[in-house]
Amino acid sequence: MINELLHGFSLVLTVGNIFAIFVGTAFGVILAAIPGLTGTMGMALIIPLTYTMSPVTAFAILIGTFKGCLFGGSIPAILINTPGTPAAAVTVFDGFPMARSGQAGKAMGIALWSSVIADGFATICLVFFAVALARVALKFGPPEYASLILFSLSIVAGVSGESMLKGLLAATVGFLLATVGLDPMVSTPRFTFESVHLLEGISLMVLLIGLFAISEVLTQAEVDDGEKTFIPAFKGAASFKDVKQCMPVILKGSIIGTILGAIPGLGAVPAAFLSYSEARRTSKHPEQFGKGAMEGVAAAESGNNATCGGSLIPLLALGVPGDVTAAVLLGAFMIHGLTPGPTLFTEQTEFVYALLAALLVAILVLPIVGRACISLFGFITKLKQSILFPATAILCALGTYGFSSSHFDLWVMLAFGIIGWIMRKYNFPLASLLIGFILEPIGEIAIRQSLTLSNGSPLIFVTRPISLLFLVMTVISTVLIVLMQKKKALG
Amino acid sequence: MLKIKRDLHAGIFLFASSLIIFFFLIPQFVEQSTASSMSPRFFPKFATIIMGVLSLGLILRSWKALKLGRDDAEPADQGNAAQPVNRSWLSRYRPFVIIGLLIAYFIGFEHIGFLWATPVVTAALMVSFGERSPKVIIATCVVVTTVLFFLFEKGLNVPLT
Repeated sequence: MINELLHGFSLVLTVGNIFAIFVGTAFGVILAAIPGLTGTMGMALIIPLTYTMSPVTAFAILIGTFKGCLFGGSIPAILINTPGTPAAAVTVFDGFPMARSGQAGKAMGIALWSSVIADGFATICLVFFAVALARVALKFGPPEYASLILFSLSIVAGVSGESMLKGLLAATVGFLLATVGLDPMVSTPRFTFESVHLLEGISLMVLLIGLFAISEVLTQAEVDDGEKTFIPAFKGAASFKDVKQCMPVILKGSIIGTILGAIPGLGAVPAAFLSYSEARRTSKHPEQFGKGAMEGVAAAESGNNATCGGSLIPLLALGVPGDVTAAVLLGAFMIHGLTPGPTLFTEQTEFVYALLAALLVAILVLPIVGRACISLFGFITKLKQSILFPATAILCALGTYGFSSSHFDLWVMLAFGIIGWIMRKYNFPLASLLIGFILEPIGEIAIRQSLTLSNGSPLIFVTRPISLLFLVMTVISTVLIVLMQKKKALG
Repeated sequence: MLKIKRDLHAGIFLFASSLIIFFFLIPQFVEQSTASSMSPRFFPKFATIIMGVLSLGLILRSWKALKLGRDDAEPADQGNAAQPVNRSWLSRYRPFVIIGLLIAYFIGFEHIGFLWATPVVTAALMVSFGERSPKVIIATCVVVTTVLFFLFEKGLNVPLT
């Protein structure tokens, strides 16, 4: 294997290929830093440009874009409270409070290094354990997904702040909003009000932009600070000590991200949520989460970035894409006459190891490009509020329109902006609504598929070991949360 | 006391919404099907029942606190962004002006096009946020419109005109 890998490096380490990785990474970071533009869109835009390239150069640029997009979403999440991509939604919770307290540089630095380390971990797992991990991942059937989602719902307790009741209410509203659209099993309409625009449901990206960015603009419109800057200027970047302090959280996030990335159908968002929840659960200072905890940013970013390598595990080893972006990458494989799956390792050995070498080289490129982009976007901290908020509102509108080319989505974005603004006024946590909205579709499909498999018997959830394990973890987690709440109530 | 009242109002609104959803919207706008072992109505109904129960809990908690004259029903905000503190009478109405301008922008964007709607609404938004320098307003409008036009229309092939 080492010989093949060294040969792969010899193919990748040409000026053209390294330049392709740089261009792809920079394109990915900048694209994802614009709210509404996702990694999937970035890959789709790049693929036509790769038709005439050699497969190695084509995948060098695509891999760079994939990795760049996963990190780039954190930049607006930290600077303007708007996740650039859905995967960066969790980064907002602590990244934005850090930026407001003058630690934007540190927050972006932690996000970058967490991304790099997690990406490195996942890539090494991909290089050495791809086939074994892919086989484990495929043991995840609908009952396991359902139990995992149930376990993930305990995150609501972590982001609800002091009022668990309001957190649960917001999550329920998110859950209900996610049921809009065609039924996932029988395709009958639900709450579509005979509108074709609602048949596909409410777009996560539109909800994110409205709920976080537009509501922030409306909230800040109530303050007479137009002449001031919104984010204090950078006070240094993340130090080695900061990264070292976050290392346990980053490693945990890397493991969670790699495993969840390898499970087809989950993707980066649940990985980031679960990693964040786990970091909070095991932290000595869980009360600091949501108020600007460095570990919160590290957990979110390591969780979502590790899914890049993770999602490539089933794609390369079995030909099964782990998420939507990996599915687009699968299209690129086909365009270049390659068929991912077990035969790829035997029939296209040279290409596979060149691809793995490109992934490893991209780990070194990301910090260079990331640091340059952090400095580039640093100008945002120097803008007066009277410039920043109008530009943000227009950019969000364009990002929403660019995402789907639908005028209807602009109205949905505004509606969620108003809902988010009212929720902030009434102290309902926005994050809880988001969790309910993200987890409902995955959970509903998993539960209904499980019950179909078992002819309606709920015993399917306790007779499969992995599912049972998650259910036991859910019970333990719930008991701990209740005990902690009681302890807090007693003072 | 204002916070408790807000909680009470939110609880009443959400409870009323759950009743409307359960008794009117689900029967009218969620079709039944026998093709699956679980009805398409199951999850919306389940969420609505939970919403109703939780909102009743919020009403009871606020009502109890109101009766006792306490102001501890509403703990400090945890997850959301900083709440504004320095507010003038003008700032109270500013969010509504921003909403109005965004509505005007969406209509303008659809009917007269990006290149006309964007500079006008950007300028109006900047004035609403307190910008008074014509040079800054004009420069920002030109930069925002030009950069976004080239980025989306030329770079990303999103038709804006």
